[in-house]
Amino acid sequence: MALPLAKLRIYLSLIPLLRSRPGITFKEIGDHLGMSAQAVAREIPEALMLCGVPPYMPHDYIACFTEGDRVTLRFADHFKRPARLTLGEAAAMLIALRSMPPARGAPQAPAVAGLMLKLERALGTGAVKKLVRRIGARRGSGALGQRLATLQTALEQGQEVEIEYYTARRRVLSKRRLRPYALLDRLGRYYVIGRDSQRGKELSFRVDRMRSVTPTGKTFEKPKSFNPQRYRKPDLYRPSSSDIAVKAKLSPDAARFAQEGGFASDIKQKASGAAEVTVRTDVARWIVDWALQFGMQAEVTGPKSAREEMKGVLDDWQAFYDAHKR
Amino acid sequence: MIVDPVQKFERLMNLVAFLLASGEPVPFSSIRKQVVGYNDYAREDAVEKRFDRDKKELREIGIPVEYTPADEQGRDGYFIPLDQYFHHELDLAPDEAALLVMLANAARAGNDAIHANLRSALLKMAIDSPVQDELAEAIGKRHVHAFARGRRDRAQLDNLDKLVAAIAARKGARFKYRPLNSKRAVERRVHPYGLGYREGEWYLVGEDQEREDLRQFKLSRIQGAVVVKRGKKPEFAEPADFDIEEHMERPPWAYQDGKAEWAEIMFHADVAWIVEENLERGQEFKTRKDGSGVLRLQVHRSDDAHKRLLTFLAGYSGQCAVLKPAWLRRQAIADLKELRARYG
Repeated sequence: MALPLAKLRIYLSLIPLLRSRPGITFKEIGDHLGMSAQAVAREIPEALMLCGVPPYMPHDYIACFTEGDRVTLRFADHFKRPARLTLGEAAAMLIALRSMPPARGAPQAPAVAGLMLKLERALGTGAVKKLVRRIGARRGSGALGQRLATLQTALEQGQEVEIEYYTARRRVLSKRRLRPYALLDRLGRYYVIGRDSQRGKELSFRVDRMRSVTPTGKTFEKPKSFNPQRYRKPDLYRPSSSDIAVKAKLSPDAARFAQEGGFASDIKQKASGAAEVTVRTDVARWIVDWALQFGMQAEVTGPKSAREEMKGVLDDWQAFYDAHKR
Repeated sequence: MIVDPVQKFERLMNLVAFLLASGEPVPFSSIRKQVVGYNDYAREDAVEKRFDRDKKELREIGIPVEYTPADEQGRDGYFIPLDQYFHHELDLAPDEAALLVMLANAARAGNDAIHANLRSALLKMAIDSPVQDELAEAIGKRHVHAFARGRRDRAQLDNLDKLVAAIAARKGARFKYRPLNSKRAVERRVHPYGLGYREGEWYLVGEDQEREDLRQFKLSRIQGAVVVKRGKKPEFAEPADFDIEEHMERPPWAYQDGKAEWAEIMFHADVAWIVEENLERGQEFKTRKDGSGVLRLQVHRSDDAHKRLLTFLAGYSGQCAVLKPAWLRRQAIADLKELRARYG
């Protein structure tokens, strides 16, 4: 979509909101738009003052009054409500509502159902009805929903939890005490960021790898220095000085798959389409599992310790096969 | 009054404001004379073309600019039907408004293809929210931050919008598609039944016209623009029991050609509960007394299908084993041995 149209779409929704809330702060407006209060103060009043209707007398233009960090609009009566949701917007709402933590056990379940119903009524044109069974997201399991609900309550109340956690990197199921600081949704996969009491540091944990979550009853204060924006990056892994650089070569098909998976910055592709990938990790086992998903199409090339790790995993797997016959 | 041309944004704002404020059809000649952005020195036909282009673009973003032919007095003109334009009021309960705040937090943080439309929808709905600044901040404490990878491009968002429209109107779509295991993109003609979202990726599910069968297409593998057939008449009807969420729970190998048969895969107790919690459509799981378990699922005897299944099993390396069918177990063990040989 061209830039003026995208801007138009925003302003046609923003003007009714500003009109309905005299004295709204620049910060509130910025929160709605994903902009800083400073950027809003700089851009919005100027753009709004250009909007008018014939015969373009002074009161035919939208008047934008600012007082400190607050703004009030006048002469915008023809923009009394925003435009209806487009099909794309209705579809995005459906997806977003349906990919909220699953219904069973999650505290938002009745609100999700209520909102869906109201949206359906408000759209009137049948847009939601047209899409309701045709636009959707993969739901998580009910058990995941219950764990998310427990974690959300713990976050709100600043409560420590005990988790039974499966660490895929080490193939270990263990109990840990965790002070949850934030819940992240990354591509439909939920993570908790918090302080692991045993390891004494801030770590990320996949919620679908938690077998159980139990509040301990102990409360804590979230550190003021905690910033979830630090986790706004492709990989949640936090490098350390003891990391090793593991190299693997990939066939052209595997290279394409790896690029789709977001490893592009670590991939050196050759003219043939094959590639060499370098991953920094503290546990060689992780790259072994990663390489195994490509079967014959990937080979760990170094260091020697990583190749030894691969040998060990393959031997263990062969032994598992030998022990489990039909 | 004739003035210089103005920026497109200002022109479009002026046109929408004029049509909303008029409340009745206005002929193009009035727009030409009165609305800043059309009342310039350009030739008549050039301004008319500009107006036609603007109307089309406004309709594309959901603003219904309509035309009514001349009435008995010979008055014709353009108008925006207010009952179709304005978003109906949502009487939001506090918990529903809180939910919108949580979604807004997620939408702000994400930059996937879904988020632009979500942000826009939430901005429209904010006018009906009783939740103001302080409460929004409190809700933020329990909020789920959504951080997507941010490698979705404009083209994918445009394709998404086109496919949503094609699904709603039941119109056929065509596009160039490059499957993962192919070196080149080929044209696919599809009756789009639904769009689904799974782990950060969009998937189109529809009937592939050439294969005369259902297929899933990952939107990020579509090359170039999707073309949707024109016209208002629906071209197809999806099966009455079609439900996109069922398809989002089907593993990719379920769409393969060839005869399907039951496979059984045994999982160690440490991971069996994870497999059981994430069962996909048509899969069964039996837990044993020691906590281990056996997954039963249908597999196709095609090269691609078994490779995909073995890729899934690699996520549980050393803690799972194919029990049956015999050909799949043989294949899995042969792959293991061949791979092991590479490491000396």
